[in-house]
Amino acid sequence: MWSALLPRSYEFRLAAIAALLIMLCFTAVGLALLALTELSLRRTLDQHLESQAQRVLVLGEPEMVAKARAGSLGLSAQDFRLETAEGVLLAGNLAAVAPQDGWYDVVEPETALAQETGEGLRAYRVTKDGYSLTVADDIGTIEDIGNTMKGAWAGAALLAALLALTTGMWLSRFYMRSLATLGATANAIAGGATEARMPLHNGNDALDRVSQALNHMLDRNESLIETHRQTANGIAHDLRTPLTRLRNTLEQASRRKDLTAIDSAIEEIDEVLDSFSALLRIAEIEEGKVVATAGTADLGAIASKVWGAYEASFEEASSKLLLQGVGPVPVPGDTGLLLQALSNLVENALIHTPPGSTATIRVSGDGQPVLAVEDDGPGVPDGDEARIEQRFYRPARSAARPGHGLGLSLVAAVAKAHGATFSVTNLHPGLRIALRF
Amino acid sequence: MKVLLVEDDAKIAAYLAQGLREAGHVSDTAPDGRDGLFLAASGDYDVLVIDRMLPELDGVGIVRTLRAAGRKTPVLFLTALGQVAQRVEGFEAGGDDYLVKPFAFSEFLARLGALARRPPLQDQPSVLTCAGLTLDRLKRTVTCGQEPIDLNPREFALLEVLLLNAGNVVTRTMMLEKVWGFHFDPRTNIVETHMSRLRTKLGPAKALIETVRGAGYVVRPAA
Repeated sequence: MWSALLPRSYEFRLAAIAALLIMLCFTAVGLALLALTELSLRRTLDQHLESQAQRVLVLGEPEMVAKARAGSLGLSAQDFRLETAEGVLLAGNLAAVAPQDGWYDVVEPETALAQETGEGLRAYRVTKDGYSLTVADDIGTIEDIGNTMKGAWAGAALLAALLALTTGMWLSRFYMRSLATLGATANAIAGGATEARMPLHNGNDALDRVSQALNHMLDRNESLIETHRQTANGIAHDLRTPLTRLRNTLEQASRRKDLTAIDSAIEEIDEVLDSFSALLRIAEIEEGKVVATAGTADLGAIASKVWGAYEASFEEASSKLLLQGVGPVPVPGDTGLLLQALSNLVENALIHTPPGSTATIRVSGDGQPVLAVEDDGPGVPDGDEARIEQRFYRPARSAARPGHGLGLSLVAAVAKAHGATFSVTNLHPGLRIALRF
Repeated sequence: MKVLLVEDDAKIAAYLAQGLREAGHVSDTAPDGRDGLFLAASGDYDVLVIDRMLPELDGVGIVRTLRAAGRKTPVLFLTALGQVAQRVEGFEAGGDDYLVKPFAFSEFLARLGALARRPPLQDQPSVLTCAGLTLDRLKRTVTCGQEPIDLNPREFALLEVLLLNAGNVVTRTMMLEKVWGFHFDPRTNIVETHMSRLRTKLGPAKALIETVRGAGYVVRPAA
């Protein structure tokens, strides 16, 4: 049995500790109970002896002696001794165990009866009118009761300990099995089954909460890995095209000794470098290296600054850029980052809308501060609203327009760094992108 | 102009030195921070170009030491670290401008020019003139001859930057920083758009502003 249990030492140890504790409790309670019982039994015995002695003494001299000699005192005490003041035995079977009045515990009584049972006596001597009466009863009964109790209690304690051991084993085995499942799942995930999750038992116990926390962590990790995978794929795709073009341009330049081709190659390299800067900037913001909310930024001032920068560009494209809601709207934030984010939103509205469109920068400070850009252009395909902030996302129809598909990722990263929500709404027609602080 | 290049990447240092030579400038190079500090302290340079990350002694350390010794030579930091906090650290150490790698040589040259000839702030005149054009920085007015020209605040700021740097090229990036406070490169040509509006409003005086292809704009003072 032990060898079968010991390898699973953790669960066995738990159960054994529980059993030991229960046994200790049982022993302590049992000892206390025993002491109390003995005390109370002794008290009863003492009261009994005292009342017996009093009853005999009340009879008075001649009657008492006569009755004692006749053996009809009616004493229920086992032994008694009636003697004169000089110690001459008048009646009774008890040896002279009590030299003076009072209580005695006689450990080795010399009476025939007591020697038979081999148990101690409790004796009480009282003197009245020159006669001394000693009554005694053996305390073996009390000891017997005590021993019986001890036996019963020990049995109960053993049973309880066994029960504790088995239920403890069962319970800890249940938990160990759940833990083993967690371990196996973790190993499976490490082995590549990234979609696996910890099983839940529909309870809100500690194990379930641990599993939920682990699952939450796994979900978050998976989405991070997915983001990184997309970024890596995006970079590979995004760089392939311009680098191929660049290679062709340079090849041509070398063949034709054409200097203008070199200029356009430089332009293409600049575009690639721009993509890289944007990616690095997004990563920098997302990694939280930039503490955005250390200072205070005024959304109103930022909006009017960006409006001032782009209003002329919209006019040149026969479109319009409007600004709604002027006045200071302070939020904890980084002015530089928010300028860049809003510029990206406004540039998107400029690039992705046809001539004659109207875009609006809205700032609102009533309650929750909001910074939003709306346009009346074609919007994004329905269902793409959530994908728009992904790196390198570009709706199919805008492939011909300039841009590297990173502008809104940067805006989303800036929003996140400010603890702001980033929301995309198709207005049919048009698109609204809002940052709520 | 005499330039000291403190740059540990030999290729970049050689490329910059050659470019400076071709543009008619003289340059010395130092490959690490200790040599850089020694040369900067002993030589008489118009501008120091210092890389942020250097062996032996980093760029910020050099500039701190120089400034503590009372040297006021303008410093342009070159850095691969474009983060705001690092730029701020550079400025606090006593740097005057920064350029994030990779950069175009024209941008580098323009910023050097602006630094080398930057007059101390209190010496900047409140009225800037060039040919027939007058810009009053206190009254915020611009006149061409006797004719007042109505400019919006951004056009005014653009012209102000150009006139303050008369004779030097002002790049797109410098304008974005000084006029709009944009420390990033927008994808749309907002500088070009505003420059073309400014030129339209300047009328006959627009010939003053020259476009330097691939670099930026320059106002040539009447020769």
